[in-house]
Formats: sequence, C-alpha cells, structure tokens
Amino acid sequence: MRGRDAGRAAMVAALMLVGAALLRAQQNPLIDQGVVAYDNLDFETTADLMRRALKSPVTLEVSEQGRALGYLGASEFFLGHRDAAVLAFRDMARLDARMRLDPLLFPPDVQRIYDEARRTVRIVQAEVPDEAELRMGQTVLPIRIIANSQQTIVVTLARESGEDRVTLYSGSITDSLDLTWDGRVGGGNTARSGKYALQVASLSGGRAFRTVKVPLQVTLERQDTLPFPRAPEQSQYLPERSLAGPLKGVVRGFAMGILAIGLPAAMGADTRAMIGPLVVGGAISTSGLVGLLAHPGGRPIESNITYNRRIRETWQRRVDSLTVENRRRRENVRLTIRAESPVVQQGVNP
Amino acid sequence: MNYQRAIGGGLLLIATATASASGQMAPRLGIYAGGMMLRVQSEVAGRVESMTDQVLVGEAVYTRGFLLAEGLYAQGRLTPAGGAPRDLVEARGFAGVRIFRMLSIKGGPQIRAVALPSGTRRRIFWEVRTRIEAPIAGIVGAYAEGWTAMAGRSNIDEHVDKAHGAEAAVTARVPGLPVWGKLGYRVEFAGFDQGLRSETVDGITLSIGVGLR
Repeated sequence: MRGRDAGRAAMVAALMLVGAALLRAQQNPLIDQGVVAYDNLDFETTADLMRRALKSPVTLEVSEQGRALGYLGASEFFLGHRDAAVLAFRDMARLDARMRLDPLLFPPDVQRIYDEARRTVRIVQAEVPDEAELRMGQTVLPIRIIANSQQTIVVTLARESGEDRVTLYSGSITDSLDLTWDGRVGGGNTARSGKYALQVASLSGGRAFRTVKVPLQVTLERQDTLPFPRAPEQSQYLPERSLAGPLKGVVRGFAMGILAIGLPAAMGADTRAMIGPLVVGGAISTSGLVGLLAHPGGRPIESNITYNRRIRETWQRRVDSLTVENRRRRENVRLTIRAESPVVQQGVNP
Repeated sequence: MNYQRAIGGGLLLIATATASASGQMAPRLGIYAGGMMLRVQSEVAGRVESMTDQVLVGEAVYTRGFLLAEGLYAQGRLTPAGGAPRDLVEARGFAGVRIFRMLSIKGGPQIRAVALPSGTRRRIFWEVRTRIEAPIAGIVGAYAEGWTAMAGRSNIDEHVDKAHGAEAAVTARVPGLPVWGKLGYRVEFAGFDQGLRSETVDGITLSIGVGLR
C-alpha cells in the first residue's frame, strides 16, 4: 500500500509541475521583467521587453496581451513617443471592449491618452451562455452585448443560410445591453434544429464595418402528439326512431275505441240516441292515427338516443382530453443551444 | 252476449299486448274540473222517464307506488221532459292497487242523491272496478274501466238487485306543461225490486286539470 501511495504522490507532483509549466508559458516572464523595469522608470527596457513578449511564439492570454500593451503604451508615452503610445493603446482596446488601464498603476496623463485611443476604436462583443436550455414560452436565452464606445448596432439571429432571420435589436449602444431570445424566428415560428448565428453588426453611415458572429447549434426537442380516436362507426349507433310505437298506438287506439263504442251494449243499455260512445271511441281511435301521422318517420326512442349520445359524448370527451394533452405537448418545446467561439468579420452587412 | 264479451276481451287483450312500458297515461297527482252531459233513464213497468242536463264535475287522483286513490264529486240539476228540475249530487271515493302498469283494481262507495218531490233519494253502491290503461300516441292515452256493485243500498223503500257500469276515456297532456285534458264516456245500469224498475245513467265528461307526473 505504501508503494502505491508513493506512486500516486509522484503522479500528482508530475501533474502539478506540468501545470505550472503551462501556466508559466501563458504568463510570459518577459512581461513580469518589463513591469519591474517600468517600476524602476526604465521605460526603454520596458518597451523592449513588452514588444518581445507580444511577439513571443507562446500565445498569450488576452488579459496578458492587454497587460503588455498597457505597459508598452505607457512606456512609449513617457519616452515621448505619443503616436507609438496611441497605437499600442488602440491594439489594447481592440482586445476586449471592457479593457481599461488600471488607475492605480497608470497616471491620469496616460489614462487620457488611452481614452483618446479607445474612442477611435469601436468594437462590440456578444456574450451568450456556452450551453443553455430554452423552454418555449417559459424561459429565454440571455444575450449580453458589450461595446467599448458609443455606436450603432444591429443584432440579428438567423440560420447560417440566412433564413429565419429575426432582428433582436437595432439602435445605439453606449456600454452594455441585455437582450433575450425567446426561441422564435421569423413569422413567430419556433426555431428548427440546425446551425444558427447571432450577429452583432456595428454600423457606420448605414453600413456594417465590423460584425461579431456567434455560431449557435440549436437542437429542437418536441414531444410526439397522440393520435385522436376514430369517430364511432355508424354500426355502433342504435336506431333513434321507430315506427313500431306509432303503429302499435294505432292498433291500441282502434281496440280501445271500439271497446268504448261497445260499452252501452255490454251494459245491456239501450244504445239508441247514444252519441257519447261514438264521440269518445272515435276520439280514442283517431288519436292513434294522429300519433302515426305526427311521426311519419317514427317516434324517437329515448333509450337509444341516450345510448347514442353517451357514445358520442364518450368519444368527444376523449378527443377533448387528447386535444388538451396534445396542446400541452406541442407547447412543451425545448431548445438546446450551444454557443461556439465568436468570429469577428470586417464589413459584413447584417 | 257471449260473443260480445269475447270481442270485448279480445280488444282488451290487443290493447294490453301492444302497450309499451313507456308513455305517460295519467298523472301521478291530478285534479280535474269539467262538465258532464248526463242522461238518466228510469224505466218502471215499461214506462221510460229521461232526465238530462249538464253537471259540474271535480275529480282528483293520486298514485303512490302501487297504491292509488281517487275521488269524484258532481253536482247539477236533472231536467225531466216536461217536469221540474231535480237536484243531483254524486260522489265517490275509491282506493286500490295497480297490479301492473296497465291494470289496476280499486273499490269503494259511490253515492248518488236525487231530490224527488217526495224527498231525497240516496243510493249507495259498493263497487269493485277494474281499469285497463294504454298509451296511444306520445302525450295521449286511453283507459277502459268496468265495475260491478258488490252491495247496494237505498234510503227509500227499494231493493237494489244489481248494478254495473263501464267507462272509457282518452287523456292528453299539454307538452311541456302539467296540464291534462280528459274526454270520457260512462254508462251504468242498475236494476231494482226484482226487475220491476231499472235505471241507466250515461254521460260524456270533458274536463281539464293540473297533474304532476
């Protein structure tokens, strides 16, 4: 066990050494030496060391580049090379829209030169989360636009082919601007899966002189809708009308009518001059016929009508339920958005 | 008479056999009021006296489950040919059971009082009645009823030999309203004093009423 622990410790130590070497590669020692020379008011040495650091084959981080350019510009300023100082500060301003000189390290004269140089450089940046999940109608994609100076911009989002374009903002920006994208593109449609691009175009005289493009990989996730049940077959329904009832009514009417007419005779009464039985018997007989004529298509069969209505209502309830469920599923749309590294293009019209 | 009974029985059978279980024939609780064209024919030793008039009739029926009760009251004046009018009052009250939907049996007294020159004659018949009801067409129904007196009594010096009668009516309900109408015919025959006298009463009743189903 001890041997294994020792092996692990050696591996960790080796990794730490490699990490430190890499860190050192990004934090160029020439810059640190230049900073020491600057503190000793040796501006020529500082300028020389910073130029060498910037030309170094080891790629510097943006912050390190900014640091080197800041010291280079300040050194040139103190050496009386104002134009060189402005050039260095312009390069520094181009690195990042938020790049500023540290007021604790550099005096106001140097700050002033930097600000002049920065105003001549107009850059804009777009910040989008590396990965975001957007629920349609519920959440939005946050987009932050940062500018180093006041300028007019147009922010658009479209497929790489240029389709489905939607303009998110058009106007001026001074410092920063928070925008959102709700996942909808032209025509209010939900974005499809595929490659999109967020483009921030800086305008001058109505024409784009610089465009920042953030490629976006959009994946649309949508739940399948459920199929509707088939409408009940005609054979499932029972007949809702029948002639049997009216016909039986006719038979009953005649039977009861004749019975009424025969009542006096059955009682052994003298039937002469007795119109009563004829009137009542006739009325009973006629009512059966009237019932038949009133329902030439047959009488409604309430039990069958109720049964059929129940079938229709059951089917309709299922359709309504599925309609609600499918609407919920259709609305439950998610967009997964993965942002790639921004690309800066010169003179691309939005 | 036998073939007439056979025909009557056959007709009742047809009416019963073709009746459906559905269809409303009479209200569960109903009160009717109307008029009756009544004729009373009395025959004494071959001589026939006929009295006619219109009589006001009030009627109530109540059914609960298989039990039923009904009452009738009629009041008017009978006018004999060439004679003075005579007051008539008739009342009856029955209780019974509905054996099945179309057949019911009931019994009770029927009292008929007529004011005669010699005084008021009151007859009471204890009747048993059988009724067959049948729906005809939707809101229309009909019934036929036959009865016989199990006992009879009169307040004057006469003996009731026999009494029987029948009634048929068509009933109709106004759609959507608890209003009922009835057109009926009734006929009764009674024999007295060993066949010396007889009386036949018949009349058409037309009434409307309010009834709950």
